[in-house]
Amino acid sequence: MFKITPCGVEGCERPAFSLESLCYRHLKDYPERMQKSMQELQAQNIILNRVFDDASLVGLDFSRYRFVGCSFRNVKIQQSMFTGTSLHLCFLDHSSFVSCDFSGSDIDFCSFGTSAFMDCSFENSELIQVNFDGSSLVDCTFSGSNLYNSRFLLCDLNTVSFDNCDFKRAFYIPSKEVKVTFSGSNIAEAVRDLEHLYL
Amino acid sequence: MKVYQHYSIFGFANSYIVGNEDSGKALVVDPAELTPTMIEKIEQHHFDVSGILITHDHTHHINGLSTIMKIYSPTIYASDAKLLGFQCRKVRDGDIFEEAGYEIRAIAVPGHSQDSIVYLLAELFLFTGDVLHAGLIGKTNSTFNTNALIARIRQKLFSLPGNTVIFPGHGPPSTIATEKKANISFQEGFAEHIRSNYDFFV
Repeated sequence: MFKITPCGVEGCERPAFSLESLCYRHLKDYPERMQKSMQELQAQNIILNRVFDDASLVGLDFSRYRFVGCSFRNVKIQQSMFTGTSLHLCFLDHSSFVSCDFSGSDIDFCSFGTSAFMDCSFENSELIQVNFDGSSLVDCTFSGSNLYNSRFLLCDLNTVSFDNCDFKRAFYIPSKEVKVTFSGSNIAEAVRDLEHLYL
Repeated sequence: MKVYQHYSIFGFANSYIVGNEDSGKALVVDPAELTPTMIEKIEQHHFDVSGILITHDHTHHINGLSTIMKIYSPTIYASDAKLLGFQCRKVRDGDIFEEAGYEIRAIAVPGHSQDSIVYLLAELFLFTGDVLHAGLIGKTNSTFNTNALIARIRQKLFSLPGNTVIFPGHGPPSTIATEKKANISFQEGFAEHIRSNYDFFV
């Protein structure tokens, strides 16, 4: 599991990046150093217990990588590929994902709580026990995915496709939904109101 | 720190193994069962299970105790004196103890059950059992208890740092910051909305 090391600058409470001793605010040449750290990570197939909180990442290709026990909270990720990527026990809360491809991914026991997704694809993915509570999703697709035991509570959904999805044991109580489609999905199996909670 | 999460079909509950590579010891949290895969995870890393943390006494969170006790000799920490016939080391609200090389703080949050207690490990990882899940709180048997549970969570858990990780007894993980923003149970009128289902005494 990741370990939070505070930034080396006295008085700074932000977490330091893995492979560095400072946070993004205090890291000199931040974009270059970040890119270098990412390249070091890309040389590995399994990325274990890393912290990249508050990072801003553009144009990465993490297709078919395996992330375990990592923290990517408050990150901004744009135009990046996570195709066929496996994420287990990872925390990507309060983040922003723009034009990212998670299709064919295997995401298990992870949290994307209160994150914002725009133009992202989770098509044909295994999303088992994934937390999307409080997230905002615009122009996204989950079509063909297994959403077993995942949660979509108080989400703001606009133009989202859940076609051919498996909603078994999923919790689906969004706060706002516009143009959401469920064609061929077993949405009736999802917990959709508070009267059916048995926890 | 190695954390292994196990999803048990029995009660659809989460159990956790927390291994400490430095001390060679491991903790098991809420053992719904002990499967060959779990034993393999423990043995693969040569961990000795030295402690079991129980968040509350519901069967689907403690059923694996009898199997674990046959193989290992851990101390069982719970707010009950005895569980399934096994003697427990009773923990109370605010107790701080050390097990498997980790400092653990017990925080009592009754409401879902009278013995509900959560454990804060290494000041970062919170094992909440059924007290607090992703987006929800645990079921209680009255509106009064629901409101009391909400107040206790606000006071005792929401005062923890936002980056505290929540490992619940059911469902996906979360963080304190996420729960503060997106927990349906903290919306106004929640307890009243579910009153008809929860009030067994009305």
